[in-house]
Amino acid sequence: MSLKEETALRLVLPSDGALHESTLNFFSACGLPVLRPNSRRYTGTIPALSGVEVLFQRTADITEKVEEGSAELGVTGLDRLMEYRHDDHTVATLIDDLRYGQADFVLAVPNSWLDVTSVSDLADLALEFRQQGKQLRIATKYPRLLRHYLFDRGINHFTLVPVSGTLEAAPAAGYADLIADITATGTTMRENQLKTLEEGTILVSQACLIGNINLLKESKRCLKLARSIMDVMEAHLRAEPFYRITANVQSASAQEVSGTVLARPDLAGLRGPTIARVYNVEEEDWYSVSLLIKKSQLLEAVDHLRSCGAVDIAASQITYLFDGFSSAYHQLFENGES
Amino acid sequence: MKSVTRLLGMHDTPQDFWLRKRNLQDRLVELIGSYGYRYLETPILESTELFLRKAGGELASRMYSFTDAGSNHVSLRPEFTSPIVRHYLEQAPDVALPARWQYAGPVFRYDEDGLGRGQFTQVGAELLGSSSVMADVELLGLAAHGPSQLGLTGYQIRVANLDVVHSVLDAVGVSDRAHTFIMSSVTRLKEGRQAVPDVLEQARQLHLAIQETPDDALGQAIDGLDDAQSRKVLHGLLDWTAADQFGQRDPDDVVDRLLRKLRGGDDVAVLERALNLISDLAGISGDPAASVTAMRSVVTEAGADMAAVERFEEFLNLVQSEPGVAENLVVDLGLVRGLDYYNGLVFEVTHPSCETPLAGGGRYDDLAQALGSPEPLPALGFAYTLEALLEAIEDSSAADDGASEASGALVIADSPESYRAALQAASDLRQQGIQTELDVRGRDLGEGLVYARKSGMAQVVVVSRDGQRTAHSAEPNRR
Repeated sequence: MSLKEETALRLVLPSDGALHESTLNFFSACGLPVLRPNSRRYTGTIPALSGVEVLFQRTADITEKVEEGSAELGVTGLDRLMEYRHDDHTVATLIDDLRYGQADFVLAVPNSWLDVTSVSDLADLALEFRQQGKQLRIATKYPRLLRHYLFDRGINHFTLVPVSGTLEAAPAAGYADLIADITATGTTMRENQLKTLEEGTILVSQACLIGNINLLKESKRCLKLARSIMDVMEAHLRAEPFYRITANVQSASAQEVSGTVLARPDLAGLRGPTIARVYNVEEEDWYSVSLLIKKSQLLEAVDHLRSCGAVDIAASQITYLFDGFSSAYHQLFENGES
Repeated sequence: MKSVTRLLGMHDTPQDFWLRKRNLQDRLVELIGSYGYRYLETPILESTELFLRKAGGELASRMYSFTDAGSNHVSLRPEFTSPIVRHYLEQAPDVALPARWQYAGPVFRYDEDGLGRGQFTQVGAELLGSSSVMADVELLGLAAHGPSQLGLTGYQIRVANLDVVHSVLDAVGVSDRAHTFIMSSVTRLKEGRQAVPDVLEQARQLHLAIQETPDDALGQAIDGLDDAQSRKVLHGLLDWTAADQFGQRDPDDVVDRLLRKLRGGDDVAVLERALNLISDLAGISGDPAASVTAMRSVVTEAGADMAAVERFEEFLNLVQSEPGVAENLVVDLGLVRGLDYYNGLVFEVTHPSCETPLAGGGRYDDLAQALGSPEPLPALGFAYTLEALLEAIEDSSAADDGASEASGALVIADSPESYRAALQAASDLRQQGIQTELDVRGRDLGEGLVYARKSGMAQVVVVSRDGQRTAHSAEPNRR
């Protein structure tokens, strides 16, 4: 078998920035740990899925790599995708929220601008500047998203200042009046005497799985691998909010147990509890109750089970929760074709 | 290697369509010329700033803008009006007013979903240096003359007058910011007074309405103080926060604007009254005479000056004697065109077969000053969209059923020795006015006939070495 046939699907992951580490962790948590033989090599494999080659690229380049067809799948931030993708939509989001890498693309002005608290203030100020023959100078790494956002709000008098280094310093350094930048916590902005604006969030971003739809459709094997990846990721994301709880209840019958547990339908699992006979040497009537419960309801559920007479209550994290089919995959590839 | 494809929203124009388009363009240019408009060709590429000075956000976000090799910010023109006014301002001392210019050519507006046209063709006219109602009548008459001369029926000329709307807002007495906001909300307000509460709520959120009891700390801090005292407090606050980055502003700018924002909002009752009246006004549409009556009642209720309505009425009376106007004229005061620079008359010519208007235009008395004119320059203009006109024409005349008559000839040399004779034969045919192609792929008669039929040619002429020419009909056998 030649090397070309072995690699059926190429997956490009971030090699830098905040998304590098968190993406590798996410893949591990999904049961798809990435093996990188050497930290200086920019390729790797996923031993759990043979036929997948992992490529590491700068986060900023990932959209382009998938778009030009250097890889079928990629993981990047929604912000990067929206800023860089072509309008012919060669690249689609396969899973638009992987629930990590959260960051907001926001407008921030100097703290000293007491009068500017919202985007409409900024619109007003842009007009005032224009009357004075000045232009608002905004530093940003994402001119496309920003321009679109401002034009949509009737703000068309501004100059974009291209900055590649630390944006937050631009107002202090004097070459911009305000900035539009990505922030996860807002700490850096506060430290640089900047404040965000009301309704000034241009985009809420997080990590997402993207794919080159046309390329994926070209090979059955490739599509099958992509489907496995999507399926496992979705199942993992679906499982994340739940604990599996098992407990033992002494009771005369399974009906009796189900009756007391189901008295609180909101704490009785996704579709009701599973109840099974426990066989023991004392030949007492014990039943095992098993159900899925939202993490936020854990203690409430434990109390409820206790009130049903439960002991030996165990709660464990589940890794996957598969649905009947992969909804993301179905949406993209099975509409009108088999 | 992957092939390079056409951009979304960009189209190739095959000969048939190109001929019809050029023909239509020629007729319109001639028509506009007959009203005394001189042709002016302006560059396709202009400074981005030219279009940003007064264009609305919608157009600004759709421009094809880039930085050229000399670091200039440039854009493909999205419209012709600003370039025409720029031309006037450059030539001003030598131009006698009123100036009448016409233009024709491609304009470019980025189309986000790529379904429409990113490039289309405008033919239009601009009349600079007249505020007379006669200028309004001339322009609208001219805009309507095109479709009627082309034999179109069923088109609608929708007209509005923004001065009527402005006069009501002035009479009610709202601030400039609220005025701009209300104008941008007309599309929603035309649905009726039930839309007013939502719009009012939005105005509140934009701090356009004055707050009786300030709900923010800064407002409370200066509550009950006069302006001088408030300024002191706010300056003190700025010092205290030790914030020292101001960008291009200074502490005075910030305090002034803050004070204006905290104190200068509009009274809620006044805003609501303005919104209700504009909602009534924007909802007026239909027959000109009835519309004027409805306008008068709103303007009276607002206590506004009747001058704008009277001028509009005079315009409506005069313009109906222009050809093709009376039977197609409709008043629609909720008409909002995509460009922010209009005042006074605005209009659109629409046709049921076409989603985009066939033509649109209006008065833009403030544009010249926004582009740097030291003097006010009342002006107005309109443009046809050629592609929309063609669509409407082709929809209403089913006469052209597609297949055009075969014409022209293909000349084939029967051997390499016959090339010289074939060249001569082709040249002779062209002299006779027959469109002639010379075979350059070494085809024989059979292949030549297949090619000729596919390309819509009438005959294939085979030339032998001694100059003998045999013509074969390429017309398909009719059954």
